[in-house]
Amino acid sequence: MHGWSIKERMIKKRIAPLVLGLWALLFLFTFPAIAEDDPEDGKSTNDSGPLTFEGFLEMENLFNAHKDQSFDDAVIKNEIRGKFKIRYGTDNAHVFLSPDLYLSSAVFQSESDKTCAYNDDFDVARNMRISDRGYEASLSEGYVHYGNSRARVRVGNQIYGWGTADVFNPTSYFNPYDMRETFFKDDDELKLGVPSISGMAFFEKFTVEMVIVPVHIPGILAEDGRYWEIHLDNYQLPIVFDDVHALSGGIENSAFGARVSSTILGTDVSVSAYHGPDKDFVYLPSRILVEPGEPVSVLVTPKTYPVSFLGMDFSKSLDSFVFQAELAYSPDKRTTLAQNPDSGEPIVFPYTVERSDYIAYAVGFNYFIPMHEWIEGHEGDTVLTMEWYQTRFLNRSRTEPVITDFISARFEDSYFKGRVPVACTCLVSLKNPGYVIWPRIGYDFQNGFSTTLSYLHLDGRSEALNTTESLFYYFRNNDSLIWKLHYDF
Amino acid sequence: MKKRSCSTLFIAILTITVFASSSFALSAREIMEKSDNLAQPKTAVSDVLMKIHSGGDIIDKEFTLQAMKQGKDDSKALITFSKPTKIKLLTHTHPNQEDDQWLMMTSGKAKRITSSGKGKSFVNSHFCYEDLSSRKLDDYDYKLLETKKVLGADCHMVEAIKKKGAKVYDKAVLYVRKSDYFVVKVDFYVDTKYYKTLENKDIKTINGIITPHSIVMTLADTKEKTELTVKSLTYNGPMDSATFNKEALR
Repeated sequence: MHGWSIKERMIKKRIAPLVLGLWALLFLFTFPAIAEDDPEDGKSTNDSGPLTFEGFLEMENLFNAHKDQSFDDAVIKNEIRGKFKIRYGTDNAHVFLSPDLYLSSAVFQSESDKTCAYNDDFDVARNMRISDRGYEASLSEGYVHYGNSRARVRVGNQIYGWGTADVFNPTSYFNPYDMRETFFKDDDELKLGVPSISGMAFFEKFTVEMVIVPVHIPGILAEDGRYWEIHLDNYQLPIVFDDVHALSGGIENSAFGARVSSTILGTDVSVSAYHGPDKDFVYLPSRILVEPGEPVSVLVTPKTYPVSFLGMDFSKSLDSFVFQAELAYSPDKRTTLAQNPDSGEPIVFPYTVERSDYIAYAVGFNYFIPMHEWIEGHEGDTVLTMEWYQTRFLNRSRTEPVITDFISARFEDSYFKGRVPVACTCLVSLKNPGYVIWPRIGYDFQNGFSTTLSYLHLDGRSEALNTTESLFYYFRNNDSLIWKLHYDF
Repeated sequence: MKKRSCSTLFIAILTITVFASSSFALSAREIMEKSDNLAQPKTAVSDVLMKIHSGGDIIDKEFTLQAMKQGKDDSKALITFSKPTKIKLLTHTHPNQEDDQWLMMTSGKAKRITSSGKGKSFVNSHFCYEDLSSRKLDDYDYKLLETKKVLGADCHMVEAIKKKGAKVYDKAVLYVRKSDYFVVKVDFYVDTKYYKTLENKDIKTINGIITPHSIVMTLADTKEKTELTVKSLTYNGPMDSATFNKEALR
């Protein structure tokens, strides 16, 4: 296990009984409430049967849009995805499984071609994600549910929807991101399910949720040779990323969190707290790599450290607008101390990792445009979403965060009785100049089949050598055309 | 982002009592009050098939409606569309403030949404949101017109003229059964021009609650229409209030 100081381990050992005590209290409250046979609050008559099965099949093709290349070189990914949602039991007590199955053209490609490989070799992760080069099976959600009108408990792989922001959620502490395709996966694919126990208690005016994640699940990055691998090509020495490792098992690497939420006078409000492994990596320049036949390079190791967060979010509708804000503060988030390669001072490896006060917030709105008032007969739902996201380490000399100072905008609408959905997403990085524009158009056959065509345009600017630029700068050659065929069943 | 629903849907659709009518001894206003006081369920669960006849096509949509009255005027409803796309819409309706509405996102968040006008089409059908909202009797002036046989029943024709509040329709003519004060047909007018007609058919009494099992909204000019067919229905059954908790939507 790395990343935890002796002091922290001692604190963890002291905190652990307190957390377990809180959990015992929650379950003392929860289980009798669930077990109680209340004739007024019995199971819903909507129980449609013990077994329900639904899902979708999707074919996705991604082409690089660079002009000077052959068609074969332009084809990056051909993938078939199946997502299934299986529920067995009643509304009050059931088992829910939501597996994702992927099969890609990497199955038929040579081992040296890793462009769209899911993994280098066969691997089974702690959250039951099974992956190899050309296929992957994951269980983003798979839990046992038991509950009634007063409380519920779930045990198993879960995804938590904490936070109100649309693009970046500072209070989404538990589920790490699958960044193998950066932000350009479907919403339901970005978060990795974590094996956890959650309890929710429903009070008249508010709801309390407590979560424990006993083992660490790290995020996934695009590895060497992948289409979405980050090439930090504005550094004097090449940068090589080390593999990501999960923290060892044990209470000291568990995560705990709680959230209290309520709706007061048309405003959704929640406060939350978290302690556990940080889902953001610290990218630690750890040493100079000198290997025969390879250029001298710098090894950067993605490391996970413990972190504590306090957070809050709110959301309020006002006429045709919904305003939302989300804030998270940490007194002990880790980052590296900055070193300037151009200062003439020798660079010391590994970089020193220090704690810092840290703040992340997102503010924005959804504007539900009354298009039907301007275009007669317009039936689609027209929504404009804007959001500003910023993060800061508040202590001096810390390496500044890369994902910060983003403005995002998204316009969504549909035409021809909902058959033709259109959308355009824009993400602009102001601090490290770069942007992505992502227009999409689809056709919904209204019988379960739908198809979508989208284009990703990414660009950015490098201000200087040896400074980390916008992600979009490093992906400036990854303009892509994406076509999907989707069938809901 | 799909949006909007209505917690009064089970009142407005399953027991449509949009406006009402009278017997000769009663004034138009008294008829309206009698219709408004018809029995309504405390809870309702229903599977509904929506057929949208538009531009020569027929588009089928299916949803399950779960609804619960809370207190005197508050109500909560969860509409779960199962076909063609899967959407969950949750609405909490309050008498003296804007409805709270949330949409279940694929990312797992329950996202607060808002309306962009009562005249907007509900899921691309020929119902608009105002059709699915409860109405206050005091917002209209009523006038008793004549007696007419409509959909096989002797009915009173009552004209309702908008008196206050922002409404899509400035006038409606209601056909109210003499026998039980249930509204079987409504003609809607926009800017004094006949716009569309609602018909309640296959009317049955379930647990003492008068309920149409087929509801048809037909546009006056194009004759395009949307049919709602109630496939199954349970009134006043036990129901978890947690069903309507936005945190528990996932």
